[in-house]
Amino acid sequence: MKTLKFLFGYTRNHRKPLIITMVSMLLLTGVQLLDPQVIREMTAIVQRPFTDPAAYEPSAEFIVSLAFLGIRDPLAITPASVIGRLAVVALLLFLARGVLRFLRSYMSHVAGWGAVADARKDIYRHLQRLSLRFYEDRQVGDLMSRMVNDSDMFETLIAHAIPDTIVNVMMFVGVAVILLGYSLQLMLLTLIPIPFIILAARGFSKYVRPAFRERQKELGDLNAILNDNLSGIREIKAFTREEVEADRIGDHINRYRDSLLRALRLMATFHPFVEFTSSLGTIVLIYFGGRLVLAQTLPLEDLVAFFLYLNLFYQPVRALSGALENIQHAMAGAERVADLLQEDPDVTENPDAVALPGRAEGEIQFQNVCFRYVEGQPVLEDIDLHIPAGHVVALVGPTGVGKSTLASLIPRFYDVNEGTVKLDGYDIRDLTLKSLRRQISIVLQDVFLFHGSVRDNILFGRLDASEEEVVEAARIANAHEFIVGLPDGYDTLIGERGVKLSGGQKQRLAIARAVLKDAPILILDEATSSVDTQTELLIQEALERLMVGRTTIIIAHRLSTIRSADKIVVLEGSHITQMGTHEALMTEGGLYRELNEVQNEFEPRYAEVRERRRVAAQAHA
Amino acid sequence: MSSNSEKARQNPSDLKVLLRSFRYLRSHWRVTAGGYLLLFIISVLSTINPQFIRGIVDRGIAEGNMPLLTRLVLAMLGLTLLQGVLGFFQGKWIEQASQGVAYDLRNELYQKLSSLSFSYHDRTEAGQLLARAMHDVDRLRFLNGRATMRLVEGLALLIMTVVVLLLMNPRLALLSLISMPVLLVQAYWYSKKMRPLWRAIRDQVSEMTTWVEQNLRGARVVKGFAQEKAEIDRFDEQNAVWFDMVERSVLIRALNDPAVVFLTNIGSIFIIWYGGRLVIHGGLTFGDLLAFTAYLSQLAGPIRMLGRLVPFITEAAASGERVFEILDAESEVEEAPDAMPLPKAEGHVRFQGVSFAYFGRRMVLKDIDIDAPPGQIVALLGTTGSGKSTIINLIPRFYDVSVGRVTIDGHDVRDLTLESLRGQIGIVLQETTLFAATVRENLAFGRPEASEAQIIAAAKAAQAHEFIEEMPNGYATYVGERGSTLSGGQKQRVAIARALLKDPRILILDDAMASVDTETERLIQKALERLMQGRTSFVIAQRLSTIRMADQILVLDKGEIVARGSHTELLHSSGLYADIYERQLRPQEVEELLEQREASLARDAKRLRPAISGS
Repeated sequence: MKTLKFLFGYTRNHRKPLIITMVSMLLLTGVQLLDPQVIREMTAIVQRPFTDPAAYEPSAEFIVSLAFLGIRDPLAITPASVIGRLAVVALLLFLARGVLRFLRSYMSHVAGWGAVADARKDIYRHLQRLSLRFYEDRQVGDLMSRMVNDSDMFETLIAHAIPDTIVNVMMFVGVAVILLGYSLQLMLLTLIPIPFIILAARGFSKYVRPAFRERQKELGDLNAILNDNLSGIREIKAFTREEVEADRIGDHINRYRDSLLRALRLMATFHPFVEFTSSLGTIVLIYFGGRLVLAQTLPLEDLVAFFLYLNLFYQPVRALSGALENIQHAMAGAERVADLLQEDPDVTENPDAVALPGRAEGEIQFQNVCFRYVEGQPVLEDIDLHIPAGHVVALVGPTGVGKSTLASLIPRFYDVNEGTVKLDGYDIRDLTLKSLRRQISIVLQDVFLFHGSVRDNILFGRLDASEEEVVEAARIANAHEFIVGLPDGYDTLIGERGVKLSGGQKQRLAIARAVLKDAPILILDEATSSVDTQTELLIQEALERLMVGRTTIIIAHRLSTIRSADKIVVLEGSHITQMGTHEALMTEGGLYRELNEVQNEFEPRYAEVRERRRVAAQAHA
Repeated sequence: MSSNSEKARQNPSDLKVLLRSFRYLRSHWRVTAGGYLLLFIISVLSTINPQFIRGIVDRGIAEGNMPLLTRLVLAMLGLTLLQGVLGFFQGKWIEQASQGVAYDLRNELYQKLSSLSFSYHDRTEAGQLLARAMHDVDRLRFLNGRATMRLVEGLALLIMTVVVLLLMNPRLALLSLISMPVLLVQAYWYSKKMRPLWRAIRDQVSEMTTWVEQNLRGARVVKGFAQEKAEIDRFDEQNAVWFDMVERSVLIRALNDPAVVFLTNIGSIFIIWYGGRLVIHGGLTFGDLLAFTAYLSQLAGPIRMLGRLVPFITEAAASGERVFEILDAESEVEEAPDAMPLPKAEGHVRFQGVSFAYFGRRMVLKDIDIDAPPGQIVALLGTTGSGKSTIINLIPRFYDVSVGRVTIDGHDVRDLTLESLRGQIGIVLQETTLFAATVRENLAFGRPEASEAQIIAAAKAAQAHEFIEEMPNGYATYVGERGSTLSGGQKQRVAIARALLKDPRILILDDAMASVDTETERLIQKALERLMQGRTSFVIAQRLSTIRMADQILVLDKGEIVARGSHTELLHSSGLYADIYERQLRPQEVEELLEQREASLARDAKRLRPAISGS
């Protein structure tokens, strides 16, 4: 019920098309109910003995329908004129039906897809609001599926399932009422096939649909295994497994074919059954109706009307079971969307947060900071660190020690569990996120570029930058030259479906982005992967230019970088164990000095291993 | 109407492709022939059916002949049932035939793909191949099956119906059939117009999907640059573009459906108007009239189908072209006709004056000479793109050298059978592909006949046994895309175990490690040491420990060996080596040191504890 309410919230923006849908649906049902009347009247006309007009007494009903055709005097008419007019009425009815069908189909889809678009917008907006912790334990695939597939269900529901249900119910009732007017007896007899139709529909959704789902699953499996195999083709060749794998694939192809054939066979079995249940109605009508006509208790035209209404009578029963199933399916999708939208972001802006005025000085202070991702597993404890504006601080320590986490606290990607982080004396939690993050540039080791042009990716730093500024930033980052060498220069598409850039090129784009942003604080994660010496020099130069005049926190790997820092912070476990300049730390001793002094300490151990192996190899030979 | 369909007819290559795809029906000729025979019979029955209505009305009801009425109704019922039964077999057989075609095509495609060389797979994306194997083959299946069936059915029904109606009443027939050609053209036009639009919508959706997906993956960057607002605006824009297209398609469809119904019904209006008059004047019976209506409603569906099939067939030809392109591709690495099997190798690997270029582009390797006597470890070092991976790919002959030769125990690898060559080379790559199968199957990948004990022994030696045991179903746990996911470190150990089980004389490995904790790293290190023991090993080295164990280190730059020697030698003689050392290897020393310190602290604590508790 909650889901339904949530869903109806999305129809609010599309009231007008929905109302038009509803109205045209009602009218359409009416028109469709009128349709068979034309043939019925025609039958009446062609069957009536006009040879002796004096003996002819028109029924009240007939007079009314003649009046409807604009014929006042029933005795003055000729059958041909009625036929002509009936043709015109039929034409008008078909036209009306066309217009109404158009309105119903168009408007309901506009409303349905409109709701989908709205929902997607909301989901996206919401996803942007959620903090990084949310992304930590979520599969992007799952989010995507909610955003793309589940939101599609809104359309199913609004444009198909719900209107179909309403139309079918109305149609069934309408036909029943009309048939009742002709002959109670015959109408009850036509109800006979309905239990069979329901049974067939049930059976269809119980056996045939699962068989098709099974086929879908097999198809998915085949897809997955083929994908698996094609991406692992090198391994297959390396292990000379071509034949075994071909058998395995063949097996799946087989299974897919069999499941599909099974589904089709079931469908083919059901199809005649469904047809038969409908023809059952025809048989009942011909037999009993024929008798009634012969016994003169039912006019022929009414029997014809019965025939014409028959399909309109059974069709809704068949369609309803499908529509109900659709509703269930769609509701489940809507529920998943609703769940996602109810997720709360955990880094939220303080209601009375202030915008940091202008450009920050860049003084950063960690006071007693503790942080953990998971309760009971502290990543950082008792961190006290003061970074004066414009200083360069190098974070040193083994992988997994929390260097990146420490840096992530400054732009408030995560909130500290204890203590405070201050920027220019403000607790960062008291600042608006936008004004805080505007002060910080981040250049990470694995550079993330978006699918888009080179220019778009640089502009990411500052959207309103001019062309000159973009080029200037690229120049400072030593990126301009390789960019103009790309097929379309700054317009070259990069990312997943565009040109693939090398690690060094990506890095320089990230630097250009940061140059353009021109933030007073810089967080830098030094790359460990190796690029050729020339590129390395270019990157180094670019970074040095970028660092000028900014408070810089470097997650450092190279001793040369570390040595040139104003302050070196050594992290071990979850604590800061040493802090100071290179000189100070060297005199102080401890881990830092040891790091600098290890040279060939391990050499003997490896020499020993080498020797052992050599002996083993000889033994083998 | 048919500039395109004419093109399809005139373009011999399209026609050839279609004919070639039909050739696959040959091995399923029995069901195919049966299906089409039934199809013909059914069409005849469909043409007879409305005649019963005519009889029922004109002779049964009008003449008050009750027994005749009953007989006719029963006959009609029988006919409908017969049609249903025949329809069942017809559908089944045609489907069987077309599924058989798809089956044959997929098998053939897969066989071909696995025989094509690495360079082919380098050039083509796996996703694209997948699309061809699935999507394009499905189109051909549809073409071979239901598409052609409907085409024939539609034509047969059309011809027979027209003949019967003309015989019944030529003028009424012409009047009532007047809208049929329009219907045909309309259906053609519609699917011609809609297909590109649908494709555009699909493309836009996948564009948006890719974009959002990247955005979510890059959430850190978006937030770091405080760009949420701009991103939302961009999304809204894309979303609006999508919605516009959808709205257009919805509009076309909403216009089309009623138009089709209207066109179909035009015939009925003529039947009412002209037919009604004829009945009154005695030129036609009422039963004839009803039969006419029945014929018309029976024809509308197949006619529309015909219109829709024409654009489909052109597309199917394109699909066929894509499929046959793969089937016709030639492999660049072919076994020599007189290839001989490599006898149990000693493992002496030599590169003699080897140069290599990928499909005729610039040289990736220039004049490489390597001599690796049995049991040696050769470490390859260099920046990305320096040619390290190319060197190791040449040994199992994933590619053929452009100049020079690679020999194993003096045999040129090109003179050996691929199976015997690759059977003696173990490979552990950085990105280990595990297949969607159980852990056991993945381990036994190189030696399917390995016993359980052997598998476990290999897993133990690779330090993988413990974590495998801890998985939900142990060795029977499903891994891969849809199973349990293994961490990078675990995958690596499975790959090592796989190579150990194969017990090759020559080993190729990339020792780069996914970011793993120190403990895991130590385990992997140990496993690697065991693996390399007694084998000729070529290692793309990222680990200091591996480099220190190597007998010779080759430093590569831009496809050339710029320095070779031992660690200490190179540290002094090669600037590039010193740089790589500083950047990659040095930080590892830091960690090793920390590890040692922690260990010694723990030892101290152990030593001190009894002393404290003793006092």
